[in-house]
Amino acid sequence: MFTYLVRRLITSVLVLFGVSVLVFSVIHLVPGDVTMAILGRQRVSEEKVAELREQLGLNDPLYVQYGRYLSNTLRGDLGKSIRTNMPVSQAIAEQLPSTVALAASALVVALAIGLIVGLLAALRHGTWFDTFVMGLSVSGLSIPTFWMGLLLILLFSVNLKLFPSISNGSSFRDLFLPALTLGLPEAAVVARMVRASMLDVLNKDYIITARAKGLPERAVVLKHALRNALIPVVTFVGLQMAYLLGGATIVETMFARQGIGRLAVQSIFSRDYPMVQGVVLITAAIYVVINTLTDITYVYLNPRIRLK
Amino acid sequence: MNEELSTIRVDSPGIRLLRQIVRNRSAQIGGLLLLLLIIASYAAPLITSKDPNRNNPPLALNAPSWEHPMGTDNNGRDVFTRFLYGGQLSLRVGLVGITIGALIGITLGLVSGYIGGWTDSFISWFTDVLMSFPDILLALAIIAILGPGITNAMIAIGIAFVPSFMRLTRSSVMSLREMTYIEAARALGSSNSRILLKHILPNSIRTLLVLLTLGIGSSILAGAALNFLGLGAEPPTPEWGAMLNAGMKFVRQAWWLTVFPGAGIFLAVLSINLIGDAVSDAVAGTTISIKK
Repeated sequence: MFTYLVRRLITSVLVLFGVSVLVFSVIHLVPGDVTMAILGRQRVSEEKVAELREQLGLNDPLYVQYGRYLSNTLRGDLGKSIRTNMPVSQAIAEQLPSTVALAASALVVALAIGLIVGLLAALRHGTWFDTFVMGLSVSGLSIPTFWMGLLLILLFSVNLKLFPSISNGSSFRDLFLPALTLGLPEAAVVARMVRASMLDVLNKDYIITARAKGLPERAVVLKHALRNALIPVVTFVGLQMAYLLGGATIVETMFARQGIGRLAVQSIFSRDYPMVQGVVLITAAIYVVINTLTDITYVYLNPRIRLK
Repeated sequence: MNEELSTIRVDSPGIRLLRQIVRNRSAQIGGLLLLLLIIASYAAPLITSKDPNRNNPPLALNAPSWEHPMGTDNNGRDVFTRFLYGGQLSLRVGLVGITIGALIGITLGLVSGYIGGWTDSFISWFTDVLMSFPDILLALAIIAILGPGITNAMIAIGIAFVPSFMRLTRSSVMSLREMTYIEAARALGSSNSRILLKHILPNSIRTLLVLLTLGIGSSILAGAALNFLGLGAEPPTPEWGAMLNAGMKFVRQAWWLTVFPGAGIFLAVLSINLIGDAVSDAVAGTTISIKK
């Protein structure tokens, strides 16, 4: 386990290094002169252009620029916004809790619905319920998040007037529609996965033995089958949490919610490169950390992988 | 004896696979749905004589009627006409996006898996780095570099798909390169590029087919999402995602502006996912996952 842990951590550090190189390159890959892209068509003096180049540190050799970028990033300094002059790390720190609250509540929606529906579909394998759930889950995979959100707004906000269509807080009322929008398509994925995993486990010899011993069905399902069927789901939950952080971009824009996703989109429009770089770097770093933790948890839960 | 043999028809594996897919119920439904959407989009000039971009303010926000089956938007334009023309672009974004992703990803996967060594380590590391960005964020980062626009959106989607194709191709190549027939080809003096293109690639196609099919659906979704965020098609170009974005502001007054374009995206992706499921069943034993 220890060797695996060390190897996995080294891989993650190498990937994080790559992420930092890629994010650093954003500003250098912009076609033409990046200062012109930022300043747009406005007529500005040469001094203004020179000032911006200085602010972005573009006058130094590339390796010096990257070295500075890396050392600043490691100290938590992600630069300053070109538009608001606010430190990027401060802007992200202000917006991140809202995104995390959204992603976490969406995950709760996805797991609560997906687990129950997937479990029931597996237990009623081959019945109309199973067919219905599978049909619904293919639809759930095909539905665009933003359309789902608009349909939910039409139903719950416009017609039933139960929940607001623009919501910025973290209360149940504020989070209900955004979390449902982000979580429902994921519930379809969870349901499919739990169903497949349960069906696989239910056919195993030890389940037949448990039944043959005369254990009540409830104990067979909950104590023996579900516990093992949930192992692959654990990996998935980790990945989904990270995915939901990315998916929040659309939901935040749609419900005019605070959050790093919306911050990224607004920064792209205003060509605020340090802000875009900061948001992309932080999200990718969270993604890598969650992936690493998920892998380690998976290996911990499933000793067979450790032995390989 | 020879006559008997000549009457036995042996279909190629490709034909058998195709027949299996065509016989699948969900592929039939999906195929029919997709065909209808493609015909409706590309035959738009024959179905309607209206101009998708012509403003007609007096008709603004009219509810669906015989004259305007999907109503009119805030500029008085016919939503049905814009829906039909919008399909062309939405479907094209998906197709071009996945083609870019497949071309780059498969090439990298072939090279990485076949050559091995440092090249493989470097390409794999690079793919891991790309995979550490959630897809939509990677697409956003690429658009931040290239600037908003429909072509750039297609490139962004394509690049976001590169890691999935690269990984799948690489693993397929790694299992194939040790096969006896590859060794035989090498012994006969075939060049690396010939072995890769004539022997390894055709044998990897079955595995890649599932990702290719399901990827088109994901690519259409991603394209619509970027257009919805306003980072793709420029107004007044009709495109389903962009139409949804414009209609969102009038969600309280005009439900038809959000329901119909969204239904277009949903049906297109659903039809492809249904076909994808059938392809996946036909290519039995192949398990892949699409990074969403």
